[in-house]
Amino acid sequence: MDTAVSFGSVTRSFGATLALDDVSFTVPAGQVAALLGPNGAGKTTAISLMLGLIRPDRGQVTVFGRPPRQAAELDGIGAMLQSTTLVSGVTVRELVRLFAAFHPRRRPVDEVLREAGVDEVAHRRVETLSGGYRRRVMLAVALVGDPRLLFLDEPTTGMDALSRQSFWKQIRSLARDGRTAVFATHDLEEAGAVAQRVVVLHRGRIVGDGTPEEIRGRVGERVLRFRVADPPPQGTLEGLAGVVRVERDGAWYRITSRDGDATVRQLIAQGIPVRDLEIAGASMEEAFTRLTKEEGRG
Amino acid sequence: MRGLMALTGFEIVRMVRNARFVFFSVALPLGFYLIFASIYGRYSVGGVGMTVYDMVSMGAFAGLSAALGPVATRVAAERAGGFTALLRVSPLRPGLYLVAKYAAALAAAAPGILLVMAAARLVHGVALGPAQWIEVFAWLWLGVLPFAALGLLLGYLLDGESSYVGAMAAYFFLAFAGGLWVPLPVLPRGFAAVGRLLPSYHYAALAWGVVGGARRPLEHAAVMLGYLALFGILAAWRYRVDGQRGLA
Repeated sequence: MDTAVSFGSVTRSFGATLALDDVSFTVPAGQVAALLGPNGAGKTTAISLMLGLIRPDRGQVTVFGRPPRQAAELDGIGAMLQSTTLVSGVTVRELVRLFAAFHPRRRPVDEVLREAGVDEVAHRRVETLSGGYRRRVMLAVALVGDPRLLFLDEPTTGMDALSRQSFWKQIRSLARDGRTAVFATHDLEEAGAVAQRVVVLHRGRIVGDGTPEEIRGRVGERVLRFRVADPPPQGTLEGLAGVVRVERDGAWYRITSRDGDATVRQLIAQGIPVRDLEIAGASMEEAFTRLTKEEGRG
Repeated sequence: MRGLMALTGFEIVRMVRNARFVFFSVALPLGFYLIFASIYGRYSVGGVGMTVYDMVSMGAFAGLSAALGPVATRVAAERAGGFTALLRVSPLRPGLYLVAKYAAALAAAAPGILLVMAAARLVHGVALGPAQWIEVFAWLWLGVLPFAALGLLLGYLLDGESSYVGAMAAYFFLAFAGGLWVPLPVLPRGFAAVGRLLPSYHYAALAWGVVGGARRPLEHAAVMLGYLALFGILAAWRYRVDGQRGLA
């Protein structure tokens, strides 16, 4: 299979900050891949490199086997960047038409406007649109060059739940046409729901790379908090399914579990009189830090 | 070429729709000309009647207005809004962004200059030979390029609201100290000496020479080219540096 994106031992720093540290991965053509990581993980730097906006200090980045800028011209690369304000004084159609003029393989503007869901606001000035609509205008701009590869940098920021859903439905259908999509996100749920492949970045290093299920198994920890009047015998809680860690503060317990559902089931089945039970996802920062440690050991 | 034409057209459309632009680069110079020429029309500067002298001054003022402020504030806003990043990502050849800004500044400057010249002819009966009309227009028109370059540079050095304030400060300073509002010979000597160093003075002086003022076209053109090279190279350098930040 064709390789859409390839990173070979890429290192890049900005001044004293090491943004990417010896990063290697490839994205096969036709895949929807997520770059997952907290803020400052290096996702945007990785996307800047794939777009050829910046060069690596060491290592090599290729897109469809070529330098990224060449690929942008020959293969078509579309990008949705994080910024949302764009320009003022022009209509949606005028903006999309402008970018159509830059692309050798441009698609009909009206078709793209329809596809991105902005045909009804095509005559409106870009600056009068809501954040969600602006994101879709960005999608139209990204699609107008008939790209084989799409880069989406935190694309659903500012969208409500419904627009998110329809947005991702659309990206999946684009992928079914054989396009490749790489998107950056700090949301594990989003990465898991949409991507076939998740590359986890933390502090400039790859700390995980696999299917969403694999990654979720490793970072999708749950935290259970509850109160017990009579403390259960030592070791009971530690022995429950999925438990990684048990912390106690007076009558309050905090259990970190790799499989929250199983832990809760056993907790109840064993008749431990828990009260005020709360279940929450472990913070992403926590999960990433743990992944980083695991990687260090492995 | 298609990309450059599209981007230039896009720029022009946005300028024409901007009320601030139309006010400063068309209405204000024209209004000033009509007022100045009516009040001071009987006087002359260095042998040039004020109706002609001010036609050149206000034509230059129109060109300065069209190029400097709009370019500076636009570049700053487009960097902040992510538009420039989007252009860099597109297959548009790098650098054409700057070329389109120069082309748009030329297009934007023409109406204001032409209107002032038309008012001089129609309202104040200014009579020049055909070659003189063309030459005056050509100098005033091409002379906007150094100011477009300065606008680009300011757009890269300043951000958002500060780009507006900075461009306005540069604009009023260049217009006043360059002798566009009050002729330099009328200003205090020290002031006039500073004014003669500015691109805005040499800009207008090129065209004053055509209508009877001291004729030193080589000197003025050389100074203008020097400023164009200075600002243009610095702006191109900032454009490169700006691109090296990636999307961060």
